[in-house]
Amino acid sequence: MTNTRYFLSGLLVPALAALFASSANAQATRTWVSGVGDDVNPCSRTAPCKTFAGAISKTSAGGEIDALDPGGFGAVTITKAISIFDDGVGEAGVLVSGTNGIVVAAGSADVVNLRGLIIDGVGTGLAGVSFISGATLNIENSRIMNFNGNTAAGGIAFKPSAASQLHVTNTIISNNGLSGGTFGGILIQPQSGGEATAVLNQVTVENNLGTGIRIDSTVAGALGNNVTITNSVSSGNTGMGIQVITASGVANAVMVDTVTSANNTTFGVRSQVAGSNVTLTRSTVTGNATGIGESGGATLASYGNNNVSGNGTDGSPSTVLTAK
Amino acid sequence: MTTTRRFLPVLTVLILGTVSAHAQATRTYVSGVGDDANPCSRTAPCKTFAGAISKTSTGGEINVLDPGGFGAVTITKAISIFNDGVGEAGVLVAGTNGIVVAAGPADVVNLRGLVFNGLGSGLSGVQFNSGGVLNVENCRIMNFNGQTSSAGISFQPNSSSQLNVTNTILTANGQSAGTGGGILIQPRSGGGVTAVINQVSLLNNSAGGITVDGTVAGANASNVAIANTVASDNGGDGVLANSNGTAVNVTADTVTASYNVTAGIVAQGAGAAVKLTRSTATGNPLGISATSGATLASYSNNNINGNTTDGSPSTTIAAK
Repeated sequence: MTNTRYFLSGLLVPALAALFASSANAQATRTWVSGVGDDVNPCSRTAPCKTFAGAISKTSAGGEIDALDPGGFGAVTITKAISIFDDGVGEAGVLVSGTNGIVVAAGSADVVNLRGLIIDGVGTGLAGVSFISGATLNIENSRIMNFNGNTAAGGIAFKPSAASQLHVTNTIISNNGLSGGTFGGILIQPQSGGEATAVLNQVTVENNLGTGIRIDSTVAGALGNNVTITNSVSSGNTGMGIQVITASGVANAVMVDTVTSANNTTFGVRSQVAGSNVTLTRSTVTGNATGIGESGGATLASYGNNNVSGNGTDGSPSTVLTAK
Repeated sequence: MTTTRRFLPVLTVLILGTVSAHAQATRTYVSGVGDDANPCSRTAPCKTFAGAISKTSTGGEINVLDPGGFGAVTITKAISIFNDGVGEAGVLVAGTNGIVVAAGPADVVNLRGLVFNGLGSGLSGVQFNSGGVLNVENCRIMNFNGQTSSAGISFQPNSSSQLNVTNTILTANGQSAGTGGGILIQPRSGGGVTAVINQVSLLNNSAGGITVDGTVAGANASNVAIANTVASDNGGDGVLANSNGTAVNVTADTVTASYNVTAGIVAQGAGAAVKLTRSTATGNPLGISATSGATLASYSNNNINGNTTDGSPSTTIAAK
């Protein structure tokens, strides 16, 4: 009997190993999720999964998870290069309460793409997208809203600890944050050893509690930010439209190009602390308590082509640049 | 009997030929659950673009009925492949090109709403060798890194051809120090290019963002207008016009070139001429540059600051 037991468990180990081997082999370069799928499925076109979390383990690194039809596909933590795409099939929702929507904790060379997702924190969510590590995060054609769970809640929290890139395109971020919180719409805040390069293009950041877009190098050991904001709107936020802040000397280079910052409760565009250098061009700042301003040795340079009027106090650039 | 024998094969060929030609439809459909044995009709769709194209008449459309991966295809005639927002219409390939266009000199090819993924080993997302016009719109092209000339879109005509790219995102294409990257426009011998690139994002490609190269022997002029476009975080130049005598004219209007590894916007070599207006170059080692006999003319309304070296235009033009 004892012998039989040993024998059986001896058989079991190779059997398990074979299962794991076939599981690794079963990873596909393209998997599917469906509102009526099931995570016991292989996530194929004809047997789709139900959730992003269920699909990601069946998707090979560098592959795609695609939405087959509308559905709520749930929170997911991403630890490898992957693309999660909904290319117009209807709502591909991530609806969470009390947690993050999508967490990116990937490897230093991994590129993560999110396209066409609706990420909704229903008032208690923490961050719509929380980026901890990875090479590049691309977010496009998405809608992020209602992440108001605590004072650190917001739409996108980009907090790399290495050199990382963020690209947000054609995305709306609204009603995130908590009044008095550190951010609301988008927070770019590298951690120790982190440096962010970001391009926000065709992004609407509106009606967030707190600041619309905060670019922040204040964390000890952070190496700085390089950010371009273009063709974008930050409006109706209860803090600033765009806030650029650093600890003394750490570089924050921000280009604000063809941006409307309107009707925010405090500043339209503010550059704070030496090391923060904001360039403002072809932009409009109106309806804010204060239009534009810099403080603490920061600079706010203008190409002399901005429309800054209709604010409680319009403010002035610290320097004027000549176009080439 | 002898007469009948000779007559029958001829008749058979005629009938088959006629049936086959008639079987081509002006509109065909593909579905993620289709079958290429089907006629590609609305109710009996095909499975792949390659399976549908032979059943689609010249000048017709292949339409996407529902989400799916529809595979690589080589296009040799005028055709439109359209996904108008029905969900993912994927072309996912390893080691090869996504879509090859090798069409006739008068043929117009339209690609709309497709997602190309080269999985790191793909050659180019769209490889254009010949044709009249190629229109690419509402597409997403990524991860074509298989060879040094890999690009999201590689436009290499051998006659006078047009390229129009609209509302498209190209990321992570090309190889470090490669000749491609996001979009490569490089006419071959006898080829010339007219191109418009509008509302395009070129992000994080491993080589250049947009490269227009007139250096191939026998190439004719390239005339390229880039508007409302962002070229950032690419491994080479954001926008490069490169020549050795052939006219390479690039107008960059409302273009943002930031955080590229070598330079923002560059004209290089005799024959290369860039006109720059309402554009921004920031965060590059070199903002703008004209070298080796090239010209970079500015309307004096560009924002060039925050680069390690900003650079200057070689000449200015007065707006009218």
